[in-house]
Amino acid sequence: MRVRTLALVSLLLLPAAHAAAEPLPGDSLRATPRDTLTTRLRRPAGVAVDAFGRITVADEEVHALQRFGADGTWLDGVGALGSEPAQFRRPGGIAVLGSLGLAVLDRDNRRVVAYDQHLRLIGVIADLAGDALSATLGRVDPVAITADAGGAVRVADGDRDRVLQFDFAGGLVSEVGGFGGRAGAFDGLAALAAAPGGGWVTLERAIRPRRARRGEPAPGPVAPRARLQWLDAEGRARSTAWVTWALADEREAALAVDAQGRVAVANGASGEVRLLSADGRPLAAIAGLRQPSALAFGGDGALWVAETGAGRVRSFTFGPRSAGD
Amino acid sequence: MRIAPAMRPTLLLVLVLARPGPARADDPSGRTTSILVQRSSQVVYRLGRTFLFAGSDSVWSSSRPWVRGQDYALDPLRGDLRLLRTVTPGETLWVAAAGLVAPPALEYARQRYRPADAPVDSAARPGGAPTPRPVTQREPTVAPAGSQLAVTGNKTIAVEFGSQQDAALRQSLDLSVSGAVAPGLTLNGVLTDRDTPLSAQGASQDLQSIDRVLVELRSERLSAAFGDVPVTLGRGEFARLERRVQGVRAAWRDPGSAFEVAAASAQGEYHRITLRGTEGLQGPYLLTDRDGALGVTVVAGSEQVTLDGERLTRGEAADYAIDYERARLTFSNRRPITAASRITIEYQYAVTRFKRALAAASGELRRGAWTLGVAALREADDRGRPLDLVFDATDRASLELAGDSLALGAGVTPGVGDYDTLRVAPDTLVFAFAGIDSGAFAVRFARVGPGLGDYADSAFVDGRATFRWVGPGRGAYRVGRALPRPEAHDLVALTASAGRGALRLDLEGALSRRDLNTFSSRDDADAVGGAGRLALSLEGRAPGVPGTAGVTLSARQVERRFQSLSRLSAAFAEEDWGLPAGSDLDHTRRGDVAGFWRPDARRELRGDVARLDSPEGYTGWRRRLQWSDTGPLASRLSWVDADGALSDTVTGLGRERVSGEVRWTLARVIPVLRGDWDRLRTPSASGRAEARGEEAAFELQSGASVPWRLGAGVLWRRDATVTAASRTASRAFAWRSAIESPAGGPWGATVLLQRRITRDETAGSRRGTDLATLRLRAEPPRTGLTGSYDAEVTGEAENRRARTLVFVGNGLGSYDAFGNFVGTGGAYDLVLTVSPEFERLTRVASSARAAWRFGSSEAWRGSRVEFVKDDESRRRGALRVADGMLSTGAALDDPDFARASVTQRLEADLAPGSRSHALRARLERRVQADRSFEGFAQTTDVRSGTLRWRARPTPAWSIEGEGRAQWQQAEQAATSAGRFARTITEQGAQLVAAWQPGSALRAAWTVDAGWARPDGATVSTRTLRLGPDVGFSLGARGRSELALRRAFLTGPAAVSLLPSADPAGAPRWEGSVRTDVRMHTTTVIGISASVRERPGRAAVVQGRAEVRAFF
Repeated sequence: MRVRTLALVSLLLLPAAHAAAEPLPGDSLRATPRDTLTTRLRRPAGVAVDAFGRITVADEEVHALQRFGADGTWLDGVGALGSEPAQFRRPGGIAVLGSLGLAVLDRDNRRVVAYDQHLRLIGVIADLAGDALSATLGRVDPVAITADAGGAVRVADGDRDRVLQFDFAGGLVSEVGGFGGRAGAFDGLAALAAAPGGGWVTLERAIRPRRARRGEPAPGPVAPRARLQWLDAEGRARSTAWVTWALADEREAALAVDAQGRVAVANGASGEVRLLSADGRPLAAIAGLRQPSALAFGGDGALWVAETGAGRVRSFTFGPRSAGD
Repeated sequence: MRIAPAMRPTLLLVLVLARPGPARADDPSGRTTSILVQRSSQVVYRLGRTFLFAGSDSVWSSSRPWVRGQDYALDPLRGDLRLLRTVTPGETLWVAAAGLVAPPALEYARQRYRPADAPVDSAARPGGAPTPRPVTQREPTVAPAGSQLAVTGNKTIAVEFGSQQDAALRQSLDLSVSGAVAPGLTLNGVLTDRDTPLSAQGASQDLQSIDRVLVELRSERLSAAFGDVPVTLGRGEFARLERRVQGVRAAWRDPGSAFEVAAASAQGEYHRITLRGTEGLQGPYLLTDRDGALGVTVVAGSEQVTLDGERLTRGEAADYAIDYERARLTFSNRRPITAASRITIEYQYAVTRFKRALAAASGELRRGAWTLGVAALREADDRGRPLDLVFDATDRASLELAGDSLALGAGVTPGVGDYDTLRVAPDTLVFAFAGIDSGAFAVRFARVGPGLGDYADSAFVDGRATFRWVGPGRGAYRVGRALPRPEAHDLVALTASAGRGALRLDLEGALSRRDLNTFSSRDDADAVGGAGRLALSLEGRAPGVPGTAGVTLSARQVERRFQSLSRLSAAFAEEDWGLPAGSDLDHTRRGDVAGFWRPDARRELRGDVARLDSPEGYTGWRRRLQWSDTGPLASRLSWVDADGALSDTVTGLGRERVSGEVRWTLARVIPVLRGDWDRLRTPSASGRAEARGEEAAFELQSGASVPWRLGAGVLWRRDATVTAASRTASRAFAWRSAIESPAGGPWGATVLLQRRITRDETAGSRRGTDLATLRLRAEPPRTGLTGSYDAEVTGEAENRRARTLVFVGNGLGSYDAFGNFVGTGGAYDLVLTVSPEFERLTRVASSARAAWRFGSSEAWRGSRVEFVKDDESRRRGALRVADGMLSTGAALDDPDFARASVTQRLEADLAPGSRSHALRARLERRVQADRSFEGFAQTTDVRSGTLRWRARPTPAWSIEGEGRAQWQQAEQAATSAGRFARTITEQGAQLVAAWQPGSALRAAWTVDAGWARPDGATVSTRTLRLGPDVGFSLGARGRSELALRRAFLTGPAAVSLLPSADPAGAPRWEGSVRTDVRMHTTTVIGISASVRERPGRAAVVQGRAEVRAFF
């Protein structure tokens, strides 16, 4: 009797066990560390990966760009402290410009400069402190940049919570957004990333919970949240998602989008990076990082993370979780 | 419930059959669900079922369902699923589809009936069973296994138009291809093609065309690249090549052979310069063409820089920075440059004469102990494709007659030019510079070499080089147009080597043909030359001698007419023989006997004896010994002794040099001692000159167990040059210190300081040079405080410049009396003169930052107070410590600054998360001074303050208010015009109210009021600007943005801080509109226009229409 019961129970459990071995809808991914770059890096604050797997890193302490080969070998660098051409004051975000170039945000010089694949200066895409743009836009405080496959550049203005769009020739195309709480407006704009098909994604650091309407009970304490917005190429907000994080300012936020539309979000204060699906559902998380301040996806799907607090850039790959995870 | 024993087996069977089956189970309707895991570089997956019902398929991933035709395509007949999205390796896909439960086969073959007893011999029958062939073995409609390519990119076409410009077409194409073309063969390619007006300074200039193609193909043995690629051949000694080209390169390697070919358009001409550093000058060092002319462009990535024999790497944080466009190289503070520095720069400068082609092929076969190699190279100008000029019949005739000598074309064109004739002797008429466009002749000058011309270069005026007559044979230039001669260079080399045991034989022979003028057959008789090399070496363990030892006998002869495509001798190698810099060491006859002994893996002793005969008649012997030990007590010792003679009268040349270093590697400290004693005897005008050098240096560095990198050192050096007629001597003392904290962490410091004092004992002068790099950072945890200070100190040089204002008449010039561009109302023309002389400057750039971040509540999180100070200065003379934290007063008043700028900013962001009282305050001061032009100085001082308040009372409403005040002052002083000064005070306020009920609509209204008053005026210029900003969606596919401002001005007309051609003040009307519409999933059309209107001026309209397609 006992043996038969045992056999019956095992037969009942067998299909359940068999099903658990297969991936189920909604399953999350596991992040696996791969490469680490440390050569000549002090405080990396921007990272970009080109079509050949070469990694370019902006170092805000050395005020220079460092370039690494696909195998992690240090190749060369460019830049020095200053305001002349080919000099930087605290370079930050880097974005692949078109298919071969690079756009670099020179934060304290308040300009965006373009480099070619040999790290040769092409020119200034946008001189945000110059007379021409100042007269049109007022003061611009750039906090992030992104560029799309056609060479158009978007600059996040943390002063006015707007996104400035420049064409591939450096001409100002439009302003999008402005201070506000609705989708399509921004409050505490902290990071920006290009999405497939010409769209883009923004991250705002703090969205206040709404007040209770008349007759409603007062809402309880709400965990601090940061908001992601997906905008299309025309600048219309298509969807939003919330990340339960407290981001104090743009130094603690980074964003990257891969070719599939998956979004990687970094919180420098908590040392965490989260991978979200194209519609905002969590897929994976990486913890224990030291002030991650820049993200970039490589062509092979790996995520490169610049850890400013550790003086290194690391890469992670994502794969399905096994039964043992 | 009790179950009857007889029923239990039945129940058991029912439970087994009724258990929920796996996702792959078939159901009676024929619908199955397949589970796939995506693999990299695979886009086609066979489901294993055929004859599926159209429309019955559905695909989903863990995040969302997939859309047929957008994310995937299904071949229902063959059951092939093809992904239309980029592959996500590791992601799971579920595919459900219904189809025939028992599908028929996809193919049918006609069978012929044979009786059972008939012999079956398909080979004997006519038309027997076809032999499978590779081309018919796979489905032609299915992509070959292992080949998947992903193509992404963007195409943008834009038309710009306006009232002040003609319509201009701009386009860009960016394409990226990646994936596998066959199993094991990967392709990666990018293409970018666009026209852009970008420039380094940010101002629009003529369009640059940026065309970049780069394609790489790789497999285990094959590699190929197309586009901007490096070509490197290093086999043998005579056929070495390293070029940066635009073309194709392919290489094949397997264990027994290696082949490489390249065919390309060479981007530049190869050139090498060697020079001695200038004491304390980090740069810029100018790169020239082979004739010594400036103004070349260096091919990006083509340079190889060595300093004292050590190869350097590019990067300001590494060793040097290079400006390719202006061909200038500057060394970083890591590489202090002294008068004893030996600098070599090999590079390619952009071709300016003819299109140049390069073809190269090399191969190597290894069979047992033998290795055979061959290389063939050709680099030639296309004489039918000159750049930037056109040959006429006279030019061709001159070239045909010139042979390998300089060919000059006509150089004088009557008409408006820069020169007039001047009679300097009764029978001598020469040309003299009369001013830009002020003469009766346009004259061109060709460089013919020192002592061969009648003219010398003078100065740069308004960007043009000017020349003056100096007398027959006293100059380097002649009147005429130097005609470029197309060249061709061919080289073939054979190498062979064989080894048997410890013995090895190396042979190499090469032939070259260099035609310096392919238009002419004259002087071609001496175009062919040969070179040969033989080396016999014996290496191994000698009886009774520990370790390994070896000896090599070698001989090399290079004919004078042999020309390799790269230099054969190392830079400054001539000094080892007592020959002056620039001596020809490539075309020599030489024999060497060299030996080595390695007692163990750490130590090595090398020695050689060599004899050299040079084409200039030098004969000499050289002996060398080198010892190295890489153990914990590392040492390096080198001894060189050479003697030779140039002729019967110039004897006693040579060199004696002893140098060494001892490094003791301990756990916590590494002391290093270095010494150098050098006597170099070279020929000079007075017979022989002896250069003496002695150096001693001591350093202490931190060991590997110390987390911080610390170092300090001192150096003494003495140099003297003695000839029969004179003696010069100098001494130098330098100290350096370095501190570097580990990367990361809350505290950080990098300090690199060097001071070098050089005293000229002959002239009695003293010069100090300083180099410094400081990076200090503090970020105490859990305090919210951060602070940093960065500074760089370097020595630079700039050309002396002068501004000259020429009065041309009221309204006839474009500049005012101080050189400000005022457009059509000016009375002066501005001429900028750049002297070839350099003036030495000490450059200091610094950045200081202190911030406090606080606030943990919802409203106050993100609050901060921050102070930033950015300075940059260039001082004529030695460094002053105060330049590291430059004051605004010093920047404005110190006349020794060629340029100086100071920016100070204090910002506070309070309660940024508050719904009703988010405040931002900013105080800023920017000071700039420019005294880089002789006879002119300009300073500006701008002080501003703003206070902004923000509120978001409801989710739909937001309000911003800002008050501002600004005080700005400018001063100009010109020797010819006196002094100009202006001060303007401004105050103003702005209010913006925005309403956004949803994502489809945003409307804002702006009101801005301002008062501006120049110093001395009693009435302010009052400006009121107001207008709407509206943004709204156009259905589901578009968006439009409108902005409009109307300005009301009262009071006197606005003035700008400095006279300018641009009108001051706000335009009366200003508006812009932009509409973007999505025509297709990945195609967007955008149209924008803006207009500005001022009283009394025509409205300025600008517009742009573009189409952007992503794929």
